[in-house]
Amino acid sequence: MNCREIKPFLTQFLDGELCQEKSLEIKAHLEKCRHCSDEAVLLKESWDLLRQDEQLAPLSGFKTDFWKRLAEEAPALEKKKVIVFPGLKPRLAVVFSLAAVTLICGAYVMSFLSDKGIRDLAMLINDKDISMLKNLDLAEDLAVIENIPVLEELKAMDSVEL
Amino acid sequence: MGREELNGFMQDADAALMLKFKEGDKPAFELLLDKYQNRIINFIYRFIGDKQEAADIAQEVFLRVYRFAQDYTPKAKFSTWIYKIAKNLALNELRRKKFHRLFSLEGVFSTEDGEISCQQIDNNQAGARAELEKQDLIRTVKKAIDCLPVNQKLAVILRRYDDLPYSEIAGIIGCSESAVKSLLNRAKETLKEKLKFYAQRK
Repeated sequence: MNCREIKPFLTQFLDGELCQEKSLEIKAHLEKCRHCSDEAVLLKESWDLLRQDEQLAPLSGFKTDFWKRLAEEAPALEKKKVIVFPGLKPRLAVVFSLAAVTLICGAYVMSFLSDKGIRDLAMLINDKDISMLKNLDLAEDLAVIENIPVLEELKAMDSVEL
Repeated sequence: MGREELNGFMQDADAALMLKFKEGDKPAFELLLDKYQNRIINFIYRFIGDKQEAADIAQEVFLRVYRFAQDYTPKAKFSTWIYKIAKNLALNELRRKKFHRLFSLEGVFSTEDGEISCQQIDNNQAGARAELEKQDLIRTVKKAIDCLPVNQKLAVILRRYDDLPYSEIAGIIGCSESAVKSLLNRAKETLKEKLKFYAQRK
């Protein structure tokens, strides 16, 4: 292995994470190569230096402050629970969704039924009446209109003395 | 009910404690607070660099653990979960500080000759040379870690100071184990360059 091939494996070698075969190869190279050996030492030493960073001692009063803060927040949290929408639990959300879907379907069905009523009413008008209406539309002179039998009935009705 | 929920985390004693707390066992929460208090404070402190803010954020971490106990389900180790909460809150604080720094001149003041400096150094302060050198080293180490990209910084802190395994670091950061190793490799290279002066003196 040459220096370029060794470099990517140096940190894993130092952490003892390589297989035995690879470790021995790298070790053999480091024993011969001053540059890579110095690199490995620098990597290890700089990593070890991180231990110099201070560790904070346990903070006295942390737990006391925590319980105090929790007690102060408790009334505010209780208030929030009353407001349903923001705190809606998933199960309630499902129930409300189903209710909404049911309402929408119900509105559609009602609309369909009212249209059906109109259609049923339309079906009650018989062909004779439709034909009469069509004739009235198409007629251009009185003679044609007078030929329509229903108008004779209307004339008969007009002549009856009230 | 508690045992069924543990599933793959039957060996995690902390998850078991959290489930006990979920069922109303408050002393179980106290045990978790005692165990993780210092770890979480130090983790956040190393990440954001301010002791008081680290303590405040750590308080918020435990408040969230307390508040959301009813929704807790052990999908990962308890330590992974709590570290993840800490990481997210610390990241929020960093973003807030970055935004604030853009629009604030806090910490910037002029010296006698008009030079703008962000940190006042008292050259007259008495102290042993060794102690000064040690403090200088600590500052250099902190700066070196601080200059790392966020994920590399997280990986270094969790590996070096918290001794967490790669799998857990991956769970906290939200990446694969091989990505964690790659992050650490790159971080170590950077740290080697920044700490070369001190490493060579050892």
